[in-house]
Amino acid sequence: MARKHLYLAIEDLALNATQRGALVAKMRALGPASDPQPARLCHWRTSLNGKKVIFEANFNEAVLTIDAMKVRLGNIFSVDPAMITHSSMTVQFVMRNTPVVTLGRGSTDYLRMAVFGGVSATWAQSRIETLGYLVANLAEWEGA
Amino acid sequence: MGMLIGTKRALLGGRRAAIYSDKVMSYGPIAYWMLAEASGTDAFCQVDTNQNGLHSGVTLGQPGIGDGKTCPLYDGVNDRTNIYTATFASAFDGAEGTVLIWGKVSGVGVWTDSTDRTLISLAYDDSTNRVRLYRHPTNNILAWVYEAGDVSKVITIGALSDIDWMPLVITWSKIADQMKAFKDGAQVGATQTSLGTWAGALSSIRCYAGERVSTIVTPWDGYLAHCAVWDTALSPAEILDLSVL
Repeated sequence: MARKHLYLAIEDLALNATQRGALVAKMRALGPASDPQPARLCHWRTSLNGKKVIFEANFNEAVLTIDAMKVRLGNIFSVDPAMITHSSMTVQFVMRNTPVVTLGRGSTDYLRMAVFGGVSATWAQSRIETLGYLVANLAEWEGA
Repeated sequence: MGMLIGTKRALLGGRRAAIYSDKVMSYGPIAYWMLAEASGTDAFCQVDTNQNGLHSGVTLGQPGIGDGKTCPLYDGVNDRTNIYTATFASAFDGAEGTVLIWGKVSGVGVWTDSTDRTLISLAYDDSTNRVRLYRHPTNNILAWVYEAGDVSKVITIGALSDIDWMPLVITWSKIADQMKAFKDGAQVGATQTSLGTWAGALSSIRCYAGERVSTIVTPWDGYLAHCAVWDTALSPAEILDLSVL
């Protein structure tokens, strides 16, 4: 299986606390079980309001797909992943496009996910985009 | 008689050592994390392995200060090294002390990203009793903070754009009623007086290299190396010696 060392973010749009906890627990389990480099083990940072999380790890590429996120949400909602809808857009924070996917069910958007710099980015490129995002959104992430 | 490495203020303290880390040890720190690990999450303390820290997210094995040792890169997003242990907290003296850390930004842009970034924090809480060195959120400024008994002493210097290693030191002494800041071996800013009285033990969630609190709000963007702590205020001559290889 191919691995990619990247930064990704998730944003809770309408999950309840139980659903959010279940999703975060699944996300925290991503990444390798062990690695000599701490940077490649899954680690994260949570926004001040607790609704956004940035994860970094040497991810299995298969877990970064929209379908994989639909499966996770389907499990959390106990529904067929095919019932999960999505819409996509791209945002540029510094110099690369960051794909942003919004996942929902019915008329409600529940989760937003972004892979900084895109899945083809190098770690350094993904980091630059993540830093650009954080600088642009300091009030949500930087404590007094 | 040989030099008593690791004792408090070695009898022959300050003798020039062939290896920088030996020089640091010759001054008798209570804790010393070289941050030179090649792999793994342990941040070894050269003074006492009961004070080993824990790396999280850092990229190890980066070029160091030029002493032959490597150092970690802190990514400015979610990396830090937890240096709290009960053993270290017991040894730490909030009334008398010195902290040394070598820091280097990952790029000149770090000075102008308007982001609060911590090099090191040793704290009871966020406002009343703590020692902290950080890149101020106002661009191009470094800050040295000593707060004791809710009396805050802050030294800042500005117009900075250093892209090379910076040996940074803070000293505090309630006995002498002085707090001082040093960069590149020289004192910066004015000596602060009228210090407060430290109260409280170090917090397990507020002792980090590269961050100030466990929830990650001010991560360092760059490299850190040779983090050492003393329970006395080192002299300017000693600090100058520790600021060169």
